[in-house]
Amino acid sequence: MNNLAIYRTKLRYTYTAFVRTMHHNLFLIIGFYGLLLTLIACILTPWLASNIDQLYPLKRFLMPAWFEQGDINHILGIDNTGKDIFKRLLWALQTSLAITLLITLYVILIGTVMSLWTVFCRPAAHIVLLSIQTITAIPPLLMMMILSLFSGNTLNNLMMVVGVSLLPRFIHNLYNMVNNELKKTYIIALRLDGLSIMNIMRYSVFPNILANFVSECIAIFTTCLLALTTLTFLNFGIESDYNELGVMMREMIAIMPINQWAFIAPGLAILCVILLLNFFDYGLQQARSYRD
Amino acid sequence: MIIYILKKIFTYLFILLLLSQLSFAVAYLASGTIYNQYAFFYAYLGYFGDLLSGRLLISNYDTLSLGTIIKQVLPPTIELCLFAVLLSSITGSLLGIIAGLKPDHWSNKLIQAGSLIISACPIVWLAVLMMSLFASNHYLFPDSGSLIEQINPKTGFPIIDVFLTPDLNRSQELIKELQYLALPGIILSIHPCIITIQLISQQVVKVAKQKYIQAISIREQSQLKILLRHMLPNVFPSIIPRLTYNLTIILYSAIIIEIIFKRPGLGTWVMQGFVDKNGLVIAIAIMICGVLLCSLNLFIMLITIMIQPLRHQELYDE
Repeated sequence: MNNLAIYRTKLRYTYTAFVRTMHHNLFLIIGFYGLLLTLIACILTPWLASNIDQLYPLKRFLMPAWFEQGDINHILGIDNTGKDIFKRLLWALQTSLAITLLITLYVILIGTVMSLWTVFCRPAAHIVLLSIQTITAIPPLLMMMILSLFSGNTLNNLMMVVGVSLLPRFIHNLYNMVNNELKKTYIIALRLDGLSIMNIMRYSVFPNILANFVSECIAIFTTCLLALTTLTFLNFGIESDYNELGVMMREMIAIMPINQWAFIAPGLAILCVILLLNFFDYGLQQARSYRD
Repeated sequence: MIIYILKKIFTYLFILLLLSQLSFAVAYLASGTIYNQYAFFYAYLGYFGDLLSGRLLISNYDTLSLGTIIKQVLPPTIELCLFAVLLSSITGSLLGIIAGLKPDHWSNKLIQAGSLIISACPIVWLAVLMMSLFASNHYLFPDSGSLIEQINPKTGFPIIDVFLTPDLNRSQELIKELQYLALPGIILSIHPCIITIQLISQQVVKVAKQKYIQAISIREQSQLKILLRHMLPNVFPSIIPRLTYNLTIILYSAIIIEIIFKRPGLGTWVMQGFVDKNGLVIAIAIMICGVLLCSLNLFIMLITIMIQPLRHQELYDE
């Protein structure tokens, strides 16, 4: 019983601290709640836009709702195949963000392991540096072409290419962060005290680079989203049948002379997500600098 | 320092070796190329022999001259890239200095907000929007540039060829070519421009806090003189190494922009090769991009060392 009370107090304390941090400034409020809304919209997409396959052949080329010819049931109108554009947008946003999140997670996992490996194993640093330079010499578009020439123009290959093209930057930045922190005097003092390197990493290095690490992850996410939509826009990864923001943009070019909002909407969705992420990042930095 | 430079040059050569192996692998494994039909060692020796002599085999009888391809394909892309680099460096440094000199002024906030919003736009989205916006405007979005390439191709770069050709209305042709470059060049230079703004404004803020600037601002009357003689020479050298990153980004996106705008160049050539499932084109493109990017990397590294031999030393002292 006593344990439960302590647990409750702890939980309440954590919750208050969380709210106090998140309501610190306007950027953080907009960024956090905007991202939360986007997340909820993505989770609820199967219910919000359940009948995506339903066609409206009679209402093809319908204008958005705020035009005179528009219909409020189809907010962004109907495209040339008879599908509701707003529902397509919701599904495409969900797919894009899910793919981007997956790539970002892989990049962070592999990049962290590789950069720590380069920090602690000197000979490995040369190999990693060499492979980084080799990878950056091949444009991602060309890499995708090579892969799709041999193993098909699939989504897996696309994800691999985007991930590999993002890895060098992540490894380089994380390596610099950890290395600069390890060079500081207090770390050397801790080492001379006889602390193990695991302890130093866990209790001294990691808390100090956490803020920069989070902004680096956010930067990776935004770059990944932009790269992914660019490549899918150019017809890559088309063998797996899916609806994604870049694919949607490419297909909407056909009805652009009639309904340009069908093309603007997917790009605007990307713009909003990235802006919210940047607000969140900036707000976190401000809150941190205030506390310091 | 000589050891450092030699080390870099050896790394450069080693990376080129790796890339040429990759290029051979693509040419050998892709079906449809002539090297695919030979045994491994014959294909290996034949491919590198052909690559060095500059004539690649398309079929048993036809050869493809590497020199002609490079002369046709590369100059428009390089011209576009150089235009974007110049544009992004000039606008980026100007805006960066303005933003960095007064960090609390509204102009800084405006520039930061603008760059934040524009950097969040997908580049293809911007390109297609601009194209549809200016599709009817032939002044801003002409169908073709100067036709000098079809009349009198000498170097392959239209702007240089305009000056080399006699009996020509030079200003008119030059304006035509610049109009053709303008829209893709502006779109291409957006992201590097924003990176330059961030870098320069950070550096300006950092340099303005230094003791020597405070000392000189007591003695010197003219603010402009302080800026030109004491701040900028300390700001610019630290940005040159970051130029590599900008150039890499510009070349990556130049390929994409060329495909979208349907301009002749490296991008459309590679894309056509990919659509035709032509492994040889992609193999050559790997070599071209590799040589270009690695050489730029090495070149900028050498310049950095010449300007600031103790760049890393300074960092350790802080």
